[in-house]
Amino acid sequence: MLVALMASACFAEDITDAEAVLRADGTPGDPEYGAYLAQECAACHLAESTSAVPSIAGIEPGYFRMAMAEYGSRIRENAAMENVARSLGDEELAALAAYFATNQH
Amino acid sequence: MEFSRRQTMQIAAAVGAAALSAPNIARAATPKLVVVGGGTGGASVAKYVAAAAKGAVDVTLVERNPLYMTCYFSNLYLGDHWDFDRLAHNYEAMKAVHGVNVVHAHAQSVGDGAVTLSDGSTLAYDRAVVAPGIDFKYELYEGFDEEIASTLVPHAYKSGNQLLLLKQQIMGMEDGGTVVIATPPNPYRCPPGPYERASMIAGWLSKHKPASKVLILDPKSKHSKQGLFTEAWNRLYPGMVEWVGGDFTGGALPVVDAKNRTVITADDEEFEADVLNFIPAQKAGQIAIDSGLTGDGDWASVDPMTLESTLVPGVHVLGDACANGDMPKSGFSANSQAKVCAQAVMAAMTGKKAFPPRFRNTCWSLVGDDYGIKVGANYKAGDGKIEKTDGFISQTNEDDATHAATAAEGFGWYEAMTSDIFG
Ligand SMILES: Cc1cc2nc3c(=O)[nH]c(=O)nc-3n(C[C@H](O)[C@H](O)[C@H](O)COP(=O)(O)OP(=O)(O)OC[C@H]3O[C@@H](n4cnc5c(N)ncnc54)[C@H](O)[C@@H]3O)c2cc1C
Ligand code: HEC
Repeated sequence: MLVALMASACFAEDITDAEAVLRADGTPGDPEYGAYLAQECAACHLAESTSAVPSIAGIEPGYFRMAMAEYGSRIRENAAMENVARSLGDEELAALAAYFATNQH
Repeated sequence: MEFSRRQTMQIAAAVGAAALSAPNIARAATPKLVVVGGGTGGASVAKYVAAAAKGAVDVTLVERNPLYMTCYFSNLYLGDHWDFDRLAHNYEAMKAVHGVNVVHAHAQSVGDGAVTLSDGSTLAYDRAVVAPGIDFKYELYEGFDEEIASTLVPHAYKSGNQLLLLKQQIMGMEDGGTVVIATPPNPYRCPPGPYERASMIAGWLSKHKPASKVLILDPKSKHSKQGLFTEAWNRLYPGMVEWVGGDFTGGALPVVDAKNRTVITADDEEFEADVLNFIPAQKAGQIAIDSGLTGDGDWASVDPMTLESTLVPGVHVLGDACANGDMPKSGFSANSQAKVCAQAVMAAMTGKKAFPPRFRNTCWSLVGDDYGIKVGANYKAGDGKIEKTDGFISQTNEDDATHAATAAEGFGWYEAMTSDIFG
């Protein structure tokens, strides 16, 4: 996972937090929908990282979009997260990013 | 994505009719939600509604036990991978953090705006959720009942004391003995559960009583994650685990000779055990049946948009007790359904906007030290039932690092899931 994380840290430069919260058509995602979607993540992600499941609390929107793209394209391989990524379209990703943007600390 | 408005309207329509006919919103008093069953599904709903409502809904949770013992990881306890005490979770945060009124009592029935408790008292509700888990169809078996299960032949399929009994029996068995696991017919709670159990028992025996055997008697001709379990048994416990599948019962359910720990099939074949773990056929928790939620069947039929009963309006059923379409009966599923149900309940009781339902399951099974396998899928509210959209499963011939990572993920999931429910 470490290698994947380092690689994605470089890729993450490619998408800014400001871009991350937008849908493909340029309109902003719905943070309220994002809050609903984020409930799903709590089934596996704790506030603190465990050995195999990193924390996503306070995750930056740009980094989040990049990571999801990497699970979606299997640059990062993890069947459970790929399954999550597959279930999230542009609408959902923008919504989650918009939600994470409201939670920056 | 064009889904959202249309599906949102569907939910609004589905719950709106009930909300309008019952004047809960107009009523001055805070509307009341009563949840029966403080297990994985029920406790998740109570917490999520209370967190979203912030006092706008009065949430009461009725649970007969003071502590919740998870079934997930109970197999790991049998294999010495998890402590018994760590299966227990309490309702302190539910009360103190989320403001849920927790009532420890046995509920007898639900309907007509009230939950009746076993002492005869009632709790009025505007909307109710029933999540009682499973009960067993003892009536199908000759020679097997709850008394025998709690003293001689544990099913250990509700965690707790029977789990302790099963472990004691395994620990007390002579080396060279046979542990027989008789598995239930479909549908039942946790499809991979009996096979994870076989793996965990074999793992323990291989370290402490290596001449012993595990025999699985299965009324089904195939089982969950079969290729993956078989691969693991051959690799980790060669010659120790045997699976007898298909029609060993001769098509009918077996007879249990509890005193002699023997399973007798319909065509008179006898399987004698030193330790017998007999897991009976299952049905929705009794209160769902007694409250008319299951109709003529064993499980409560629900609207997949809202998890509301198709038979009793204003009452939602989720988790193992509902007819959950393509989803397996698992803790992960119950928690996922709870989040859909919670927002449907909020929409009905407070008018809050509801988003389209989304469901997911992921089940990890530990089969040995640092050796995990997993299966999972996404689901949607389909036509009259929850439908699978896509999924994944571990591959055969995965390397050690992948097995170890999957095992570690399973441990991470347990911490996250129990904190999501009880934290
Ligand atoms: C061996 C085994 C391994 C498993 N492993 C996994 C796993 O790895 N992952 C996974 O996701 N799932 C697993 N499961 C399945 C999981 O435990 C269940 O699917 C899950 O608990 C279902 O949740 P539920 O809320 O429907 O029922 P439960 O969690 O059983 O909760 C029902 C609650 O209702 C209470 N209750 C019932 N009737 C009444 C009444 N009349 N009055 C008051 N209270 C009442 C009960 O006391 C109980 O607390 C496993 C199950 C077993 C047996
Ligand atoms: C079924 C369990 C599961 C669910 C549900 C889940 N995740 Fe994950 N997630 C994981 C695991 C396991 C990993 C680590 C995978 C790896 O090793 O790359 C992970 C990793 C991630 C990462 C990478 C973090 C980092 O530090 O690089 C992000 C981002 C993420 N998840 C976001 C989400 C979001 C958002 C959701 C909810 C929409 C979600 N996850 C739901 C299991 C899950």
